[in-house]
Formats: sequence, C-alpha cells, structure tokens
Amino acid sequence: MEIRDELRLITMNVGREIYGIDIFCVDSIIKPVKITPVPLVDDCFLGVINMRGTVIPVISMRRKLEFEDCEIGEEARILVLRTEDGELVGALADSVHDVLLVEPEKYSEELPESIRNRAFISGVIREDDQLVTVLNVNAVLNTLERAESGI
Amino acid sequence: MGQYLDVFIDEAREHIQTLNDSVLILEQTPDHSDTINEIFRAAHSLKGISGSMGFTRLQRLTHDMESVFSEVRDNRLKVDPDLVDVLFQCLDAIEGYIEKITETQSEGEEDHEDIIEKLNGFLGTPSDSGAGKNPVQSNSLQNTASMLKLEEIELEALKEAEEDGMTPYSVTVHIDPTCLLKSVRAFMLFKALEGKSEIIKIYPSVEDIEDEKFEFEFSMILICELTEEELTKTVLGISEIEKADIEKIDTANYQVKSEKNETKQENEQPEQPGSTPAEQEKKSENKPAGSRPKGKTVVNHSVRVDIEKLDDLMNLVSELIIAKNAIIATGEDIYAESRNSAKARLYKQQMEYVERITSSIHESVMRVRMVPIESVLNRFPRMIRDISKKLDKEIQLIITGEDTELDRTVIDEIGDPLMHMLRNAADHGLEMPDEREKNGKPRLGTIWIEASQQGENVIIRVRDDGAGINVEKVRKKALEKGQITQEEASFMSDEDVIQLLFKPSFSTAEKVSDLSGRGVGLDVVKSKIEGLGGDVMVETEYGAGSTFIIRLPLTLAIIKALMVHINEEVYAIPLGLVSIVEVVPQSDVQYIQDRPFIHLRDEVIPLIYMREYFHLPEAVLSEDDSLVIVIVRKGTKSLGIVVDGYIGQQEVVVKPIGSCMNPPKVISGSTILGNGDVALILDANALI
Repeated sequence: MEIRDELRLITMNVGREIYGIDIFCVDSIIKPVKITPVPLVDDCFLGVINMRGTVIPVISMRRKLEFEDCEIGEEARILVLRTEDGELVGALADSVHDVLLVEPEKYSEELPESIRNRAFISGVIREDDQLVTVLNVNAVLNTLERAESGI
Repeated sequence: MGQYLDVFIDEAREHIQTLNDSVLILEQTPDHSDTINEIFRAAHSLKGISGSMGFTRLQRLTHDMESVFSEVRDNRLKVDPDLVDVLFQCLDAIEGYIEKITETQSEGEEDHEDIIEKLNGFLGTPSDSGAGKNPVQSNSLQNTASMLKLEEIELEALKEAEEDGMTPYSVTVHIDPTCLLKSVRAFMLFKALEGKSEIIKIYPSVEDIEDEKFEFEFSMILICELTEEELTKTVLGISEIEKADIEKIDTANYQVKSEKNETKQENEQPEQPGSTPAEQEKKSENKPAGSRPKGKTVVNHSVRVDIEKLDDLMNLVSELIIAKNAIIATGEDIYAESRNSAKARLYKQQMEYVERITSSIHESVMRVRMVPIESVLNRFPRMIRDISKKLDKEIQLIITGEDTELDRTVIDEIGDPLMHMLRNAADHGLEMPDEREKNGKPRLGTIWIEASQQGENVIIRVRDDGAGINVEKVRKKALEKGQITQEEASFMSDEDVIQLLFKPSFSTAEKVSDLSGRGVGLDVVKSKIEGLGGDVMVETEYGAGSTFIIRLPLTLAIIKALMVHINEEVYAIPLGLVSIVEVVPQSDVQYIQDRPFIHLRDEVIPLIYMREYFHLPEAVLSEDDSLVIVIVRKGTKSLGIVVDGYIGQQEVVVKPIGSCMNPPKVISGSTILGNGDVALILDANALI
C-alpha cells in the first residue's frame, strides 16, 4: 500500500486481533442481514446478501484469516468493500471500531518472520500498546492469491 | 455536429445494407428494374448525406458508384459478374469509411483510387470532362423545376389567384453546398414566406426536404402578393441560400402536366458518363434531384432512443417488481389474519390489479427493447455470396422468421456466433458442386437460417443440406488428439461424440482454410451462447446435412421462473427449460448402475438430487413422503431435478452474482425475493 501523509483506517475485531482497512476501500458498513448461502463456492464465502437492491457476496473474515467460526453476535458488522474492478464485496467482522488516524512513523511494512497469510497484509501499526494489522483489500478479495499466501 | 454524425452513421449503414441486398438481387436478376431504382435511390441518398457531412472522399466514391448505377438504369450498361464484384468492393470501401468515421469522426486518408478507376472503367472513357460544368448547371435547374408540372386543377387555382391580384411564381432555391443543415434553411424560408404567400406545389416533397432528402436545390410554385423583387429579397434574406431563380408563371400559355410529358423528361435527363474525380465535386451538387424515381415515402412513426435510457427504464421496472413482490409478501400475512373482512378483500383485488399493471409495464418495456433478428441476419446473404465465390461452391441462403424479436442485448451478441456457424456450414458442411452431383444432390447447396419464437425462448436453426458430420471421423480425431481414451471412444454414443465438436481446439476439416477451421470455433460459439443464457445443439445425418439449433432466452433482465425449496433456501429455475413438475412416491425411483432414474410416460429420465449435488445434508424423509421432481428438457434430453418442494411461478429480476466468488455454472445469477432475501437462480441447462 502506498503510504499517504496520514493513513485513515477502519479497524475491526476478528477473534482477539485488530485489523485495519484503508478507508478508501470501504463503501459502507451495515448490520448483518440474512445471508443466502451459495453452494459449491470457496469456504470463506458465507453467501450473498441484498444490499439495497444489489446482490453482493459476503466473506467471513474469520474464515479468510483462518480463525475458528463463531456465532454472529450483536456487535458484528459487514464492511462493504470495493475492489479494484469496482465490484462490491462484504466482509463480516466480529465488530467494527472508529476510524483510526495513523501517523506515518507508526506504520511499518516490515512483518515479523512467523506471520501467516503474508499476501493479505500490507503492514503493521503500533498504536499505543496495540498492534493493528493493515490488510491489503485487493489481496484479501482475490481468491487466486490466496493459494500463493500459503508459502 | 456530434448528434448529426450519429444520425449520419445510422443512415449510411441502412443505405449500405440496402445496397448490399439490392446488388445481390441484381446479381441474380440483372434487369430487375425495381431493384435498379432502389439501388440508385440508396446510392444517391448516401452521396447526398456524405456530401452534407463534408466527407469528400466518401462522397466521391459514392458519386462514381451512383454514376455507374445511373448508366445501368438507363440500359447503357449491362450488369455482369465483373461489375458486381467491383460494386461489392466499392461497398466494402464505403463501409470502411463509415467504420473509420464511427471510430475517429473523420473519413481518413484512403482514396480508393483503384476502385474509382475500375468504376470509371465501366463508364467508358471520359470524353467531355471540364466542358460539362455550365450546361449541367442549367440542365439541372431545368430539371428540378421541370418536376413541378402543374395539374389542370392547380392551374385553375393559379388563374383564380391571379384574378384576385396575386402573382404566381416558379421559384428554384439553391442552397450553399457547404451548408450543413439544408433542411433548416428550407424551413426558415418556408417560415419567411408564411402569411405572405401560398405554396401550391413543391419538389421534392416537404417531407423529403425536412428529411434532407434533396440536393442543394428545390423548386416551388407559389402565389403571393409580393413583387418579383420583394420575393427575391425575402428568399435571399435567409442565410446560406446562394441563389434563387424566380420566374413569373404565364398561366395563359402554361402547358399542363401529362404522363407523356413526364416520361420524356426522365429520359432526357442528362448524364455525364466518365466524370473525372476532379470534376466530381461540382457535378455532385448539380446532380438533379429530380432524377430520383418517385418512390413512396414511408412515414416512420418512430423515435430513436439511446439504449442507456432503456436500460435505466428497465432497471426502474425491475425495482418496481421487487417492491411489488415485497408488498405482496407482507400483505399476504395481513390478509391471512382477516381473510373475510371487506378491507382484506379490497386489498386482494387492488393487489391483483397492481400485479397486472406491473406485468404490463414490464412487457411493454421489454417489447421496446426487442429488435427483429433481421438486423443481424441481413448481412449474411452478402457474406454467403462472398464465401461461395471464394470456395467455388454454389450456395444459396434461405432465411425465414427474420421478424422474430429478441432483446437488444442478445441481438448485439448473437451476430458473431451465427456468422461462425454459417461459415462452418458453407466451408465444412456443403460439399463441392461436383461431389454433390456425384452423390445425386443438386449442385446448388442450400443453407437455411430459421428463426422462431417458442414460449420464453427463441430458436434459431442453422441447417445445411451438405455432407453432415462424419461421427467416426470425429471419434478418430478425438482419439488422435488424446481428448478421449480408446475405451471411451468405443463406448461413447454418437451424440456424445458430436458434443466433442464443442470442445476447445477441435476442427475436423482436413484442410485448414482461412474461412474457418483454425480450431477456434464451435467452443467459442458455445460459450458465447451459454453466456447469453442459451444453449446450442447439433442434429446431423451423415450424407444429408446438419442442423445447429440455438436456443436463446427472450430477455435477460426479467424472467419467469419456477420457485423451489432446496434445504430451506429458495431457488429460481428459469421456466425456459422446465417442462413439468412431478410429485412421485419415493418408491418410483429406480437405479441403473447406482444412478437414479424415473420411469415416466414411456420415458426413462435420469435424476439429480440437488441436495447431493450441492453437498448439502440429505433430506430427512419418512417413507410416505413424495419426491418433488422438476422435469427439464433440452432438445431430446430430459432430466429430473429433485428439490425439497415447489412454491410456484414468479417473475424474477435477474441480478448478477459476485464473480469474485467464482460461483459454479449451475448458479447463473440471483434475484431478490418479496421479503428482501436473496434467491439463487439455478440454470438447469448446466445440469443436463
């Protein structure tokens, strides 16, 4: 990801971790609605939803990031993301927080050796005593790149 | 100029199509006078519009072509194969110009000297170039004016007006040839004359003038109170009117129009054979508009609408249908509670009414988007003609059902696949004439395109009376290419072998020609047609010919579907392929080699359990529960789709489903139900 003067991130909880997504990639944030499962697709897709008349697929961030599934709670939200091609995809997170303003010096693209799913991650932020993992939205949404990330 | 350019391009394309069709007819029947007139008209208009848009190269080419047609019309030139070839070259060149103009808004630098030279070759040696300038001018003047011969009764009216102190005039108006909006100038002139004078007669007709169907001049006979000087001032007061020839009419010595008189005029019409290119600009503007045969003007009550506007309208209708379905869904609950109250009954009535209206709106909008398939098919006669020349085969193309209508989006996409199939039929299907004769067939091979509507589908059959598909050859080839194993080869049914033709990189033609047979072909055709929600099949009889059957849905945006339950989810199966829904006891299912079948009315139909197919948990059924089976049919093949239950028919709005999800082929889209939930659309075609 290109580092602008300051980075605005939408942060979300997935499991006990905090992930951040560039605000420019986020179309909207909605409460979970009924998800219609789609058979014979990649496991990380929960199905499709009706977002104001448009049918969009929904990814489970838990499954994508290889966490255990859990019940969809009160706090859960669907982040509607816009891909490079302009397609909309929902990402189900356990909860979503405020916008985080990040100063460039707190952002690092160097990742610890042991991190999995490296292809999804563009950097890490040290904010106070918290670590926020910044996701590369296009890589997350592109199932083809998922295979390469296993390296 | 942009909007005029679009109109110009549309019109030019229409003229090119007319010319192509007509020259084809001319090739068969060289003295067909109606056709010759038709050609002349089209060529003339084409020249006119290119001139008015300032495309001089295009104008020059069409002008020379028109000259040739004019010679043909006047029986000074015979239509022979050489001429037809050159004419087709010429049409291709014109089409090239139009393509270029469409892309770049300019006609480009290509002069097509060679074609112009060939055209002029048919006109004989240029004899009087240069000298023709002035005489033509006066001749043409005489000609438009001469088209205005008064009838007896009109002459009487003139005489009466004269007695009332009015003066009859013959006026010929010349508009500046650089003028882009001739009709506007003409209109301004009519406006200026309004109230001061009365137009008795005009040539060309007012409609033609409004449609710019005239050269740079037109003539009128009018009566007015103005003096000649005043009238001249009024006419020349309109900008871009170059010149006006105004003449008082001597009613006493006027010669009334007679049939004989008119024919004489037509024959005397001066022609300038062999004009040189340098001269043509001058000549084209002088070309008498009056030489146009008086064809019946077809008044077209139509409006050109941008397809985007129609798409918007269609989207709104879709939203309306979704909203309507939602209201009905919520209403049903309320209705169920107080079924017998007067209010509930009224609600039910009104809802039914709303439902009928939305259906009608939907159908109307759909119909607006429907285009006759003719617009795709009409380029094929010319193509077949070219192919038959190239391959040295005698081919005739018979098209039926060209008025069958399809959604605009489907029409736009179907041209290429059809062209490919036609080429295949001509190249691989039909045999060489000698071979045909040897096999007791007529030398002339025939290809049929038959379009027809069947329920929610349009069927297009591309049939030929050629050699048919040699199934054994296909089998051998597939084996050689390693697409099937030896074992498969010996067990495969003929039908399945033929399906191999639709596999990528499969061509049975022994000799690769540049027409078809490069191995890209039927697979592309198939995927394109399937992309449109249709399918393609082949029927063939070795030695007697093949038929390719294309099935296409009428529309893409809103379809009628059968709603079914599979594992608590609602799925929509497009009605296009559905033949019937059967409810049968479980015990009716029989197994052959562990595959489930059902025996229905003398037909053994294979079954697919959707739960199993979708890797869903098996349904919990007690012994007396029945199975709900949706029978779908594609050509001769049938299939039973086992679902958990069916809900009924409904109009559904097709919405795309996220492609990043890589959905299986059987899920071709989605739709939004009345309660706002999403239902998936199940394309039965992918299951067969």
